[in-house]
Amino acid sequence: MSAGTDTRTGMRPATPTSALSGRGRWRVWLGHNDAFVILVGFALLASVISPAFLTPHNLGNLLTQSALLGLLAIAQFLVVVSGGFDLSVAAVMAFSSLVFAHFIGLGFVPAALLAILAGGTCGLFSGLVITKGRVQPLIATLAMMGIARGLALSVSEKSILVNDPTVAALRGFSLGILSTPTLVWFFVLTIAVAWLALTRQALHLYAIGGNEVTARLAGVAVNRIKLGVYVASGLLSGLTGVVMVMRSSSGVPLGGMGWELDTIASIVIGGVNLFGGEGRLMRAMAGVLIYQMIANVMNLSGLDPFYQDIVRAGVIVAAVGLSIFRNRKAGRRVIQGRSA
Amino acid sequence: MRTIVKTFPGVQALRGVDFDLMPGEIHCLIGENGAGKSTLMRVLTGAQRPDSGEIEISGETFSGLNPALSQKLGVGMIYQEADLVPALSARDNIFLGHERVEAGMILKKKEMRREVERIFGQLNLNFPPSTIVRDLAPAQRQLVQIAKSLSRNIRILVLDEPTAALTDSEIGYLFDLLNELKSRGIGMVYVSHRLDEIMAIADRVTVLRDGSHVATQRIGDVTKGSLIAAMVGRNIDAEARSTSSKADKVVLSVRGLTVKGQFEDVGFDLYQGEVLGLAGLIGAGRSEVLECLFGVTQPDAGSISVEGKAVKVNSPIEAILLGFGLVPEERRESGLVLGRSVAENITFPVLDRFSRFTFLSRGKLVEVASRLVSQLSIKTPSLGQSVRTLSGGNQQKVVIGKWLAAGTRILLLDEPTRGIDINAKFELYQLVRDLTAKGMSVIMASSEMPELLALSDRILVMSEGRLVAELDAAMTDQVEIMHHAVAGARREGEAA
Repeated sequence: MSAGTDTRTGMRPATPTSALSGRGRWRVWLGHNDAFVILVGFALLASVISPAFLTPHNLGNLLTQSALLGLLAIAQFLVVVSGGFDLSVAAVMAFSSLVFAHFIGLGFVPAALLAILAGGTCGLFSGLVITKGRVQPLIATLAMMGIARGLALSVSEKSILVNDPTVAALRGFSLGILSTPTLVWFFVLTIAVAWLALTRQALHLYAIGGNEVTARLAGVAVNRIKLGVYVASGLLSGLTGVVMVMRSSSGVPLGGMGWELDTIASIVIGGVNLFGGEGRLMRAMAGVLIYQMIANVMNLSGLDPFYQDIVRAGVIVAAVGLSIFRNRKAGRRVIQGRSA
Repeated sequence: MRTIVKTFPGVQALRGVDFDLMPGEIHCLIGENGAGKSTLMRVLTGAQRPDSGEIEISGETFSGLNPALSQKLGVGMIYQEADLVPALSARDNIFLGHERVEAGMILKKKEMRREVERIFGQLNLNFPPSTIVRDLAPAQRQLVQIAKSLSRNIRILVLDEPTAALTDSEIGYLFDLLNELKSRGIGMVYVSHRLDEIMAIADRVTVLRDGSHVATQRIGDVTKGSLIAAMVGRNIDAEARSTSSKADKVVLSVRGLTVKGQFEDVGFDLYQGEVLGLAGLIGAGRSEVLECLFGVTQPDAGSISVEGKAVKVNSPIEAILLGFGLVPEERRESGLVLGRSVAENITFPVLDRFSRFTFLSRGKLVEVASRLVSQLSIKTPSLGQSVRTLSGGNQQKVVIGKWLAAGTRILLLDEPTRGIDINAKFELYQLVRDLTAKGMSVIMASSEMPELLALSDRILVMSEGRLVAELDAAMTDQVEIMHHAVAGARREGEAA
């Protein structure tokens, strides 16, 4: 590959691509946009199999179903790009949904802020353990996953029904096929895409994930950025908890079991390098939709839930395997270049 | 920089070194591998803090720097291995850590784009700044590093082997650029092994040896010969070598061995009971040859035969069965299982001999281990002691013991005495002599020339992936070895 795409913004350099032959250019393009191509292919296939698929109603449903996973995937995306993992996203979401349900008596806005703040606190804690305590992200956030899930269950072992007019109104609200969860998802996504494209901190995030030593030697405040990314992940997970309540009208202590792996799988399908430093958010979101569509199709076809788990696990292994394969190819290229 | 001292566990890297640099001067820093050049420069760039000593930059005095402070003071560094983030574009790398921003966070992309165009024009670079660094050739990456330094307001520029990946014309280009920077009053420290380049570009030259300052002279007062003498001129303190146990029987024969990008056309014979030394500068390909023999990498061309039979070594397991044993450079990382006991480490490659139906026979295991521990006089409180707690020398003996247990006949040693104190070194030398007297054949790669001279029967010198000389250890000296290692390092006019 002689031409690269700017990994952050998706802009391609002007000259080298045009120097390639038609087929080479096509291949480069495909390499950068495979997730979108798969997404469209999947949608076409699904609409052929089931005429009900391409209806506005079903598409709206698909987006609503993807919204929670999509929001968590944005959090996971930021952390993975920085070279870490956050296994606590789903548990923090469940905890935050209970905080929201518990404090709804204070009014919608205060309860929502408390819930988001609770998520942010969890993220701050993980971030401190990782940066100050030098604990591996996998271990630190695994611990946070247990803590958040435990806290959620200690608030209530059963789901708490939320009886609030604002929540009910938001639950019923929609803009065309876009439900409230979908709108929140798109809103956060817009901010995140802009932040990634425009800010210095985002550039530092990619640099740390790509080569932490280089970033530190260049004067990047590595620990501050890393701490910030876990806090952001916590805040986003907290927000997702609030959105979950808008969808289901209740705080669910066992909500989102196993979603932390689903977020990782979907962004890897979306071409994010599992080892950090590379990935485009929009492509990662296409990964979320692909992942959700697989689930959707399995549901529509009435596949036994146990087999669904097996298929999903297979998809995760395939996606991670693909990421490692991509990474190895890239690594080899670098090594060859260096010693030549 | 005054009386800089830096100690790493087991090694004193710098023993009170003085170094000074004038504005608009190119000051070359030379010395053998491990002489302390890189460490000294890492102290200047803030990558490492000295244990004692002080650094004075433009009148301000510091006891140590960090990368951010060093950059603020105008120190720029170009590393030997291009120190860039491979997944980011050249432009993003150039501005990394000092992006132009407004409102504290929003990148001023237009301004940076203009600035980069200007720097690229200055350097005459012919690729778009938006190219991802991974897709650039090594020489281009080196130039991006220089651009990175130029984008900051630098007063001091450190270049560590900047020409390693450059072609002749690119080197000429780089030198023009350095002279231009010089006329602007920027002081430069130029670290290199290539004496020709140093004679061409330097104003002054400082020689380091074993972490000490040897000499600082104006370039007009030195010759290549005098520099080489200053680099190697330590007392040869190893005792006279014992009689060789080399026999006439060829144990290992290598012909035309090539691993693309690592080394080319390497061929030699190894005799029974012989110690064959491998000399060369860092990056000459010594470790790579050993790894290839041990089946870690697969050769692209060439043949290996053991005791007259042509073999293919596809993996370390096959290498062990053929009688090879590798004592790697990074023994803690790739030679030992640190958390496990001495007994387990020694018997690691041969565990299956002590096991029946996968159950280990502890008794036999301990018997073999204790025999080797006493044979090698490994100092350990018990066989069950975790290897992590042993000294470097004893750890190294455990690695060697491991191969003795496995029945190794060809022992490959890679920097066997790195980070080991002097007494342990001599014990290891004695051990190698004992082993060869019993018919073991040894290939030893080492950067310590006295060690090579004292232990080897013959010394092969490698330079830039090729064998450039075969010397009789009894007839040669450090100066001759260094001449070959350095001379070969000159360009052959071929593109990188």
